[in-house]
Amino acid sequence: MAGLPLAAAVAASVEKLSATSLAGTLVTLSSVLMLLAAFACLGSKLFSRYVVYYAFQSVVLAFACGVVAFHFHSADLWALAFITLAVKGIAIPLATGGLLLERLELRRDVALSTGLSTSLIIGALLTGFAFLVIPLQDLPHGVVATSAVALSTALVLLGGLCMVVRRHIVAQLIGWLITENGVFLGAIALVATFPFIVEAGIFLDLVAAVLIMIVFVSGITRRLAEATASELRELRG
Amino acid sequence: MVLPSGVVQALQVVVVLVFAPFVSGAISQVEARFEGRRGPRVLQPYYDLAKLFRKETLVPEGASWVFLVAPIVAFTSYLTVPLLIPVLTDFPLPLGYTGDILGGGLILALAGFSVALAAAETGDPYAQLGSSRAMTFGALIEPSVLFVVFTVALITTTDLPYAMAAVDRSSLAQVLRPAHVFAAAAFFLVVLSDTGRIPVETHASTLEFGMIDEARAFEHSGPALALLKWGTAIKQLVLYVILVDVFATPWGLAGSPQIGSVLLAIPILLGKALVAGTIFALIDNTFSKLRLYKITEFMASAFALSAVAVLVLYLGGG
Repeated sequence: MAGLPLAAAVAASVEKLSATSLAGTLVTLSSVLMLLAAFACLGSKLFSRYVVYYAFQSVVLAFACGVVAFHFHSADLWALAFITLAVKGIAIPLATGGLLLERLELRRDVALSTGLSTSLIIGALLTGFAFLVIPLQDLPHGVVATSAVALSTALVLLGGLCMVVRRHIVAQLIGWLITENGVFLGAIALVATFPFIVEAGIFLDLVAAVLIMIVFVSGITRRLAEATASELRELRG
Repeated sequence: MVLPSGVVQALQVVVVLVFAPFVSGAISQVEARFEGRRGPRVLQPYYDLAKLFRKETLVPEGASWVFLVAPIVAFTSYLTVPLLIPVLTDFPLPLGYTGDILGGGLILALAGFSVALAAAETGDPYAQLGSSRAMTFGALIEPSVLFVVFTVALITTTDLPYAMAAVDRSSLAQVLRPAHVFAAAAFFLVVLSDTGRIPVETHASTLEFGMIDEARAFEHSGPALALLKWGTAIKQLVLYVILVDVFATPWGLAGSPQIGSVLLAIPILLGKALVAGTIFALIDNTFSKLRLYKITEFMASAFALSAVAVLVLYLGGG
């Protein structure tokens, strides 16, 4: 019961979603849809599909955030929901689609280190692992949408898996973005009323990272005509 | 007026029998509209069947009686399944408990087996190639089906389709619980594969390279071919019914054997089947067919989802 003191402390200090309420059900459903989008990403080989699935996942995340905001009447969370929709749901997919995929003519991703079947099965095992390491019965009873916590952990792991099995930098960027979505989901599922400034800061990081990524990948591709991580290793001195 | 349960039971089979070609025709019409074509008439499958029933049956040299019996066995098997699943009513009918989901799967497999046997009788390379592929991929999709059944069993402690639908209806949270959504998504992929839809097979083409199910009927003609085609349409509608009435939207079924509510359930069922069919047609138009040796990746994704459903239930998060 190592999780108890922390969970109890969290339960005492902040407001939470009940697992059985409508809001809790909707947040859980959103987490499941987000996980399905991550699986779709993992099982796809087209760059344009990665971006579409990420955009779908982000829109669902914005919906989940809106549900929590509605439940707690929190202006901060409403703001976050709209920023999520605008930045992750629209701006980042458009930027990666237009500035990276079209300009670099990226279509089919061939730089995979395992077959799709293998990575999908590993993804299923990682999801099971997430449920194994987050003992749901140790979470404060009835105060959080418990499955959402484990599902968001699974999302973090799946994003990591995306980065591991894909060698192309743009595909790894998508994996990283999925991981970030997972972290955000875990945050709103566990602690609905966390400081706005933290999340806003993360958004700034995210935008900066995507911009830097676009600039760098464009530059690298112009030099090397290739942007897979295995090629980059040869740049070491 | 209250209908005897035997009549309702028979009506389930008749509805599937009569409306299966209509659903097929409507879906190909929707598909054509997505592609900007006018498409065939919605009733075209009925005209096709009528034409085929008027033609003579030709039997390849050396083929035995198995070749002629197989289409009838397959057709009968497909018509047996509607006895076991909630087509029109949400309460179980007398024969509803004679078989569970595995029983229904067994009957569908029997149909596939008899068609494959008939294909082997012909000595035609294409028909045999089709049945060999159908058997291979059928075996590969089977683990996902089993895991979906396990999920149903873990949720309801039975594996009866009626029980699953009843659990779904009990509250919205039951339909939206993670394990159920994962299992439903996996079953969606299974239906996609079993109805010969695009990531697995181009259902309307006659190109041998990608043919699986369609190739099996190559040597059949006349009424036998009509039975096979009708059977395919029935199998498609049966799978749609299981998808919408057991997993996705088990509402709108008749709650009592009143004639009005049973009759009302028919258009509702067709509407739901057409919505499902429209989604399948949309997928047909947005995705490309996988190469034959890449189909295993599709099967792996269905298996991963169904395995996640079982894992999630076992670890307490379902």
